[in-house]
Amino acid sequence: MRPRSSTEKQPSPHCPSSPAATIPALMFAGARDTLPLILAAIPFGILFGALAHAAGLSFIAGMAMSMIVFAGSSQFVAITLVMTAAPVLIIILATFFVNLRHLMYSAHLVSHVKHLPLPLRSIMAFWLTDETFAVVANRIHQLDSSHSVTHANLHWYYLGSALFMYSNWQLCTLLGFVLGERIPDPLDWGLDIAMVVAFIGVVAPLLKSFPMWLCAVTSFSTALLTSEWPYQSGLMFSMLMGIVVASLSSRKWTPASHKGTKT
Amino acid sequence: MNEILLILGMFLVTYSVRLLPFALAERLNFPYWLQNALSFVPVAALTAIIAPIIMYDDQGNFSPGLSNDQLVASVIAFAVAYKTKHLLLTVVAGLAAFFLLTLL
Repeated sequence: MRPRSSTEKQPSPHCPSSPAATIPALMFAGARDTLPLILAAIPFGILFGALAHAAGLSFIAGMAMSMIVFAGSSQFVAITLVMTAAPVLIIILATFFVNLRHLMYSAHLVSHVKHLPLPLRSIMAFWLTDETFAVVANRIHQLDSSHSVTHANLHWYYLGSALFMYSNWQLCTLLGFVLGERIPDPLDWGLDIAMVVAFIGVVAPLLKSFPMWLCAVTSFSTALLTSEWPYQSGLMFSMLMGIVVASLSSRKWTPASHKGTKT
Repeated sequence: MNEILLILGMFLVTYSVRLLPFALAERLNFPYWLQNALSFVPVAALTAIIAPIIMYDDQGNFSPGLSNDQLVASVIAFAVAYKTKHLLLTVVAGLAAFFLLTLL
């Protein structure tokens, strides 16, 4: 998302890059692009269900956590803490920190949702995940590259991705809770490679400038050094390191300092 | 364990973080340096998420060599992604490489 002038983002009813795109077609495209990330999420959803059962949560509570909280990594931290009989307040605090990176995702997407009505934005925010953020960021980049003047229909793509993620997460939680330990360790299925290659497919085309490369290299190496930090604080720290180092290197403090180089 | 309190509390802290920038979208006018910083979020986040998965093996040992199937498949996927800029093609190539490597 580079800063755009206000004349460029006038919502128009049609998306020029795909004139025939209907709502179902856009939703399907979002779901289709999310498929590899769905594959990678399946073992985690099943494991979460099984752990919720093992931790002594009622069926209703296990399902409600997936349906109402809908935050994979936070749910894992929470269920692990439930097993150690941690106080509710501590669990809620841990959940907050683990999910804090979504603040940056949401802030990144702000300029692309501004024109939408508040109720729709509120629903979209609820379904914000690493996965949907990744495919939507990729979609934005593709629209930018094809010189599309509007992202007005982006929300249908977003919702297609998000609904697929959400229903898959509920189904997997249900399966895991009911079948529990009869399913052999889901994390050994090796499906997380699907997420790895999908994220690579999103990141690689974005590496078009020195600061972007520097951001990737910094985040990558910092994440390796901090992967043992508790509550995914290493992930948050690595993101921030990448962003700060890249910002400093790009020296774009004001529009004037880079006048005319980009639109 | 009060399950209702736990789930409501978790909902409030996760949803408020996701909602805040979206809800204030019309009123937020990010300064230029922040817009620039936010443009790095996808690369920073997705790279940081996958780095440990790629570079550490199942036992948690650092594994930077050719014996690491995930690493080799990732390098192939990166080459395809960089060249074609096509998400699904990247995924298919990366997965095919990974499963061929694990069969070898």
